[in-house]
Amino acid sequence: METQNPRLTKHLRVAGTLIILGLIVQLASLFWNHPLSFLLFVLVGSAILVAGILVYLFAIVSIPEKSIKDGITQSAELP
Amino acid sequence: MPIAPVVTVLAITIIVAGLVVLRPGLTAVRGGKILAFFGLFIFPGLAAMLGFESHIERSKETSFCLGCHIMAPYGKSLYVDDPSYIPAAHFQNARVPRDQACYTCHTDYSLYGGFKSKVRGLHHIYAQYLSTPHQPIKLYHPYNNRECLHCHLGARSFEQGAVHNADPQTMIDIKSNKLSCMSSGCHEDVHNVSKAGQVKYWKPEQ
Repeated sequence: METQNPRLTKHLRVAGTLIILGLIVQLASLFWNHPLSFLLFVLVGSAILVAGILVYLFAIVSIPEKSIKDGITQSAELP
Repeated sequence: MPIAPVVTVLAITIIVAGLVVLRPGLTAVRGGKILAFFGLFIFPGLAAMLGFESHIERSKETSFCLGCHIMAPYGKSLYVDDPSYIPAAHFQNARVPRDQACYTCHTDYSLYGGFKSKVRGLHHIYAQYLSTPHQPIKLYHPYNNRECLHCHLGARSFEQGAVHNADPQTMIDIKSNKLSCMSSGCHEDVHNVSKAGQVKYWKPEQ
């Protein structure tokens, strides 16, 4: 029986959490009318966001999508 | 750019990314994969670009420049009740957009001028928070007539001004930036913050 690879699930969760965190920081910076808000947006918000996107991209290209219940993993591209 | 569309895109992105975080099993099917791709790649990238653009636009606002305490006297000088004060006369008579007064006169009207302004802005932040600003603060370079001529070139009051045409060489020197508009005896009263306590101030009607 095939299930979704738990590693992929974990990485998607981490990526999503990082992206949400980065977006919240960016959102907060938009409501802060101060010269430092731009740095908050770029150095904190965008850095977390980019980290999340990279985790997502890394996950979808490097982690096999399906796992076989007996522990042997198998790439989605393989028949 | 108004902030509302940017906030909307950010909020939608948070919701879509939140769906993937709460229900990662959705990505087992094709529709879920597309949803994840948009929620974790396309939308965040779009939101970041829109947010960046919004910040860049906001950095042109007068209130943004005056956000640093050191700029307060320069902001106050825009209200000096004396038409010989060039920034005050421009600001009070709406010759420059009041909400972008600093940027309008202090950006470079040249190729990459806007970019250079932003780099200078980052240097201002460095000087303000990580170093010690020079007192009194001064321009990095002498003010270039190009910035004045961006608007005044071709204007009747400039082209036919009696003093500007008193000597044929004067106009040539002004246009080639050899003779500064702010030369002594010309438009020399600029911000003059050292005289802030000796002048009257205009109070705009509410």
